[in-house]
Amino acid sequence: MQLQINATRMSLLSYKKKLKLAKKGHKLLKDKLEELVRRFIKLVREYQKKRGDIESSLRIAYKKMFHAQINMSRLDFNEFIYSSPVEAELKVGSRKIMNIDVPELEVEIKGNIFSYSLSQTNVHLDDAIADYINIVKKMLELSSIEKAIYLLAAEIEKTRRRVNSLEYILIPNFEDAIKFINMKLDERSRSELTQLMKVKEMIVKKREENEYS
Amino acid sequence: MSQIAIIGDKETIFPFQAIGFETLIADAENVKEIFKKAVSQKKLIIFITEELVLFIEKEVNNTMKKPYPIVTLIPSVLDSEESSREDIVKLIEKVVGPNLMKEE
Repeated sequence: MQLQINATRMSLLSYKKKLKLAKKGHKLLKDKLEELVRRFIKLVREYQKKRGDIESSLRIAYKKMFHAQINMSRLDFNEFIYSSPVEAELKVGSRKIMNIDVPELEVEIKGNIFSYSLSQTNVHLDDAIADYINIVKKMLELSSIEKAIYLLAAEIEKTRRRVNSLEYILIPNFEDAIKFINMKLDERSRSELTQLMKVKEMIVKKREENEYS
Repeated sequence: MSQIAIIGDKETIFPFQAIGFETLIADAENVKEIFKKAVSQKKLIIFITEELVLFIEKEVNNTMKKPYPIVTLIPSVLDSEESSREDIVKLIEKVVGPNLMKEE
């Protein structure tokens, strides 16, 4: 890329300063990127483990609930669902991973869920409900990890773009500019030198002519 | 009103109502509207079954960039196979390059 450059010592100094800054920034950003990727991989591993765990336990819970359902009348089951006094209260906090706000979720199950009629329900329902409550807590953990993964991925992309633009555009540009100015300055000093030599030659010649005449 | 919504077929999500989630019963045709409604109601977390998410991938991807809502997939009663989390795998490949996670 051709830059508009003033070939002066002042601008040479300023370009050198800029280059130094850009290199420093590049190194810092690269370190940040590495750390982000490391955390990202750690989170993904955790996510995969938890995900498999939850999926299998959720399937077991579905089966238990199904057992409960077929041993009850539809009406009783619906009554149990609609009359449940339980409320899921969500607590939202946040923690920071590398300066990124990541949500942290916690759910509190309020109210006693085991307040249904014992004569109209069966033991499978107790079992299934206990499973569901356990799983819900884990599901929320999974949600926050998933969100953290997405947010980290976005940050990684952003940082990578910055690192690349520094590495492949900004730093080479500055280096080119410095090289260009150096060449220009050298050229100027050479031409000044030859000028001086020429002038000296002329002066010497004139003086000699004067002496002999 | 609960801040947690769950979208899916009736069999899967009905029991979650007992735990205090807001259950939104949906099928392939109206899942888009229901999801939009849930987002506009400022639900913090939306669980959605894997079969239904296929119909609204674009909408779900739009929410990924914002802090909320958090959309999480759950398996439904009907599918029994191991789920494949395509989007997460794609994301990993985009960020760290392929083959990095497979060594486990």
